[in-house]
Amino acid sequence: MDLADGNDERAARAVRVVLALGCGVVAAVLGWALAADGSSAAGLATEVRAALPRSGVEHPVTAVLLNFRAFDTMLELAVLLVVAIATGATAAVGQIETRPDEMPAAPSSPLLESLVHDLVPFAILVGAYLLWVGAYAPGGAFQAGAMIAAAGVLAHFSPRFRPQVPDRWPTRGILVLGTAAFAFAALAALALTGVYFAYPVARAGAWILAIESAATASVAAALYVTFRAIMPADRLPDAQR
Amino acid sequence: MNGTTIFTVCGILLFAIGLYGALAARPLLRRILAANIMGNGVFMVLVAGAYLPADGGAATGDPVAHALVLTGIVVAVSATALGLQLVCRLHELASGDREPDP
Repeated sequence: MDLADGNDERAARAVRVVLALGCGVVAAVLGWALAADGSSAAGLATEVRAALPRSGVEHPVTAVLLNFRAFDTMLELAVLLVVAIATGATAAVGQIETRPDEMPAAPSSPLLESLVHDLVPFAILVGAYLLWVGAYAPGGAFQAGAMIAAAGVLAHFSPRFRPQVPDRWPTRGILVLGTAAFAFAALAALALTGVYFAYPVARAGAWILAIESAATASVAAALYVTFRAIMPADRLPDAQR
Repeated sequence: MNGTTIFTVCGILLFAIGLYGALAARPLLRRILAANIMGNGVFMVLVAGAYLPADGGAATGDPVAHALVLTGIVVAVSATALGLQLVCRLHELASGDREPDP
């Protein structure tokens, strides 16, 4: 840690040069490995295309995420949930939930207010559109959730429109909703078709839409709650400090 | 030298730059950013590898790789958020001037 001495500084520079050389070697090896990779580049596109009619959606990426590799996506939602819990656990007390005595601080700029006022509903609408369009075009639960969370972040900066985060159980319910919907769907599919995560083919689209809606809510809530936990605590106006 | 090669090489360079940053930088925030750059390099290599030259119809991509990258982006964002929160907490505890509990 102590780099004050000239000797140490020179040593640190030498270490950095060695590190840079090492990283260059790593890059070279990676490039060589990828260039020497002789396997065919076909990937799994053919298999996905062949199975697409039975997936319930028309967009291959959504089909992979919500049907063919649904287990991965469930774990991805679990990662989001864990992060939301961990950031919330290390945040200051009262950082996430809206407290009853929380009063908006001095009004921010009118420009921000009008931007939030006009843009946030539109952003939520775009989020809903992304969720819906995921069935046959790029889009889906994660894009929609990110969009809605971004709307929440934007609104967060305006004291007048700052989203209210209800205390404890409602928030936790929304956070868990996506993972729970996935787990429930997996078990229900197991009961109905006998295979874990194999939705009934005829109604697969409806299953996917239901899971995606729950996932959207969870993704948006997890991202926004995490953001709220990280933001510096400015919840009390200066006069009350 | 087609597009795939260019993107793959750029991804590898991004990975190497991020690796160097993550190992050499002292500030924790810079390390987190460097790890993100590494991750973006990996995503770039994956997406470039997923590109399939047009075979008959329009050019497509391997949807499995795309889904993997999409998953990876979400996990990377989550990990970054967790790292940032831990860094914030570290600074808060280290500086000692925690705000008075209301």
